[in-house]
Amino acid sequence: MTSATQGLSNTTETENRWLSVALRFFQLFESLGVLVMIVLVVALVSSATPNFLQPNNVSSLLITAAIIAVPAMGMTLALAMGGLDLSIGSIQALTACAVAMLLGVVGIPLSIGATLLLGALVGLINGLIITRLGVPAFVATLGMMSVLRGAALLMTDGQSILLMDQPELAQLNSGQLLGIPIPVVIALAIFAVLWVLLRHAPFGQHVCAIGGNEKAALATGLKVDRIKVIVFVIVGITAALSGVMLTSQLMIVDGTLGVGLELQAIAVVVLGGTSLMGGNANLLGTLLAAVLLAVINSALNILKVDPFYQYLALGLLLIFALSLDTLRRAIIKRAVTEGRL
Amino acid sequence: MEPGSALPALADDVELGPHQTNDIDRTSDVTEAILVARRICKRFPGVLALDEVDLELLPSEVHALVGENGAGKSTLIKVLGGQHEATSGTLQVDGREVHFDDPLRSQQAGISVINQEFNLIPQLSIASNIYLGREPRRRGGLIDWPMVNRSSVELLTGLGLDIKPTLRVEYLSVADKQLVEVAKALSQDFRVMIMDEPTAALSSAEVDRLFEIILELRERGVAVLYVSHRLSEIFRIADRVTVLRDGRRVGTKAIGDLTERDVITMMLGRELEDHEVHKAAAAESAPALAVRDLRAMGGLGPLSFDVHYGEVLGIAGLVGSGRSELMRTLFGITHRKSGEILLDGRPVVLKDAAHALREGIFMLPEDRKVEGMFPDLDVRENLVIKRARPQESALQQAILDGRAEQAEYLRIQELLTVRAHSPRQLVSTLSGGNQQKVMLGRALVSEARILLLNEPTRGVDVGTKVEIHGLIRQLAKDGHAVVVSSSDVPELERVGDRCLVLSAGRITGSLQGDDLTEDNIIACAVAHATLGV
Repeated sequence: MTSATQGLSNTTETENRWLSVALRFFQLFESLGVLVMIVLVVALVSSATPNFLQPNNVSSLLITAAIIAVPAMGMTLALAMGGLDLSIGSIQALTACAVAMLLGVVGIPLSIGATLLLGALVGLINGLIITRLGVPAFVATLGMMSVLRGAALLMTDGQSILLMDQPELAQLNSGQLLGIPIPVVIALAIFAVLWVLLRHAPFGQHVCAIGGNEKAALATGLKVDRIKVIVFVIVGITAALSGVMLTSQLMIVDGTLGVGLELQAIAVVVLGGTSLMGGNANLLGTLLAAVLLAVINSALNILKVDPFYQYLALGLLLIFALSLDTLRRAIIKRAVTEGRL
Repeated sequence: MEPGSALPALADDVELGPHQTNDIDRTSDVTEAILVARRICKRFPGVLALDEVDLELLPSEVHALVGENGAGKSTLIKVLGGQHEATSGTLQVDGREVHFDDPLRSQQAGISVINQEFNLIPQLSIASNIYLGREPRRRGGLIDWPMVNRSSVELLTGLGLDIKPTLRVEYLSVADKQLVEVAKALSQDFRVMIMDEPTAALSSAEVDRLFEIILELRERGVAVLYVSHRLSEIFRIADRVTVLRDGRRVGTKAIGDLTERDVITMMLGRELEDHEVHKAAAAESAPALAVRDLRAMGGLGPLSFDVHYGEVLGIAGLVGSGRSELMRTLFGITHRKSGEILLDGRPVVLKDAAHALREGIFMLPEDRKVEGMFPDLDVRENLVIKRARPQESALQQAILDGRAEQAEYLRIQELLTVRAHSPRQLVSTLSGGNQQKVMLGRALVSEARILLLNEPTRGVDVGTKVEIHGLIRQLAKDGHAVVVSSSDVPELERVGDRCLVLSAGRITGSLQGDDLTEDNIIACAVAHATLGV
């Protein structure tokens, strides 16, 4: 009897240890995993091709990362709320075209301001369709994805707009503030604002509450519909901002920009540790995962891999991130049901 | 004077001692009701869920609300909590008329509801959950986290819960989640606390702790409306009882004037007939199912036991004893680590539920809402969803046979007296008892010979419970081998020929005959509860 008991407690102990190690791994991964992956990829690629770490490449890589990170941070809120916005790619195209067309008429500040307002307006429409018409976010934004793409193509008549004699706009991409590329500064500013909103304002808690348990959020008396609309407005604004940033990078825009941005953003958000099931938001993870994606893409470029492989890499990254998320939740569930925490 | 305001910091109150509560008792008029509901009606399309129900909650009382499923308890709670608006009737709080058209209004009036399904956000921290929607703010509108965490700690310690408030709720056990709900309630002014089946998932020690908290609340002048199926609990804790039947109030009485039998009679509207449960002597045949040195995930085992055709084997044990894990392992959902399972003497390794069904094993899931029902399918579809059709060709099996299904439906409906007005009725619109009968009906449809029944009468009214017990005995008599796992100890005593008691994943008792009593089961269940933890 005593030896059997001994054996029992031994097995439970090893299980116990295994479980807590797994748990700790995921808690650590949430904050550090992506960073470790960045370091690994950078170390690997730079040992193969030393010019990977040249300032020029690093800065262009960070700019690419910033242009993905901005809408992805907006998307982080949507996912944390248990929703998602598939229309951000089309918003990016629409707003890129809008800012390019406005520039011929009014000055830079006004064009950018109006474009951001346009993004907010689209977000508002998304939010209202979802809350007032009761259309699931997936379907509502899928519809808007097509609507806005059509609008962007109609607006430009299917033509490209080449922006010449706009050095100030180009400056928005190539300029630096305290030695940091301006797009990166913009991304960091958005990060700071959203971070405070998520961590230190009731609003962020309420967003996560809706994602975690919408019924409970309603029963607690949260203004669920209003919060939802605001989140989609925020997503719209960040997508519009990325449209402006992209325009200043390319200096030539057309209605086909931003195809697949929603996929990139979702991959980045989930890889960063925000669950697709909602309830939590890992903004720092999103920021780092955007850098990781840019690093991978840049690495593939520098290693002269066929650019089509970038699609492959993105898809695999998304699947990897999602399976990791599922595994994480399964482990938490087991740890809880077995009371071994 | 607001007694509610003394409540948020329960820990402080403990230090302040009894004189404060005495103050409250003297200053407030004891006979003045806090909450009065008069002639409340609630009509849903086609149903009058509440029919002129009256309810009065006095300060410092624990008021039990009982009734069969479908009697209107949940509806009444939802009306009081502001989740439903009453069709007619009046609500008064402290003599003033109130209208609750959303939960916030009810909260503001000092009513706090702890639902069966917790209103907690798993991914947020404990502290964040406690103050959700009412976050203390600093200047500038940002959350005052130090303040939130500090007051959360105070509340939690007051409830005897020693955990960090920054821990996410998803990491908590059911009992701790419940205490977080209580803490959430305590963090705001409230004078009425409504608890819906709060002990459904608690162990007996946890129930004791909850009862202490309830009594403490009562001492502080709170009116507690306590909803439960478990009459023994009501007799332990309640001062008065209101009984509902078919949406109407049957009566409100002081607990001292009643016996359990009286309450049951009020609930049913008739005397409970004692279906005499006939127990057969365990068959001497070869075992239908033999378990040898079985070990599985979650520290289960090693376990060895037999189940024979024609007998009912009860499985008892507290939450976490490995009861559910054992059933799931026998059904092949959880994989065993080592040991053997023999079916009719033949060792089998069950791959999954489909495999188990092919081998003639059926399992009634623990929670029909989560693992059993398809709420958007009708009664018949739910019943025949996994019809055994061994003699048919693959093509025949791929096509639904409406006539055969209807015949099967009628057979089961008659056998189990499922009260559905049509086979096309959505299963989610049936009462809990009838839903459970449909789930049990699947056992008959499956033609399995080994039946693993988890919590066969969970959330089922008294009348249906008796019927289901009769059915379980009948199934054994017809030659099935039945294993019943239940947290309802009297049920096991009543229906089982033998009973195994599990504790910390191992068998700590095997009871039969005269030894099979409630007291013995409980003694075995707690005897070694600390072993191996």
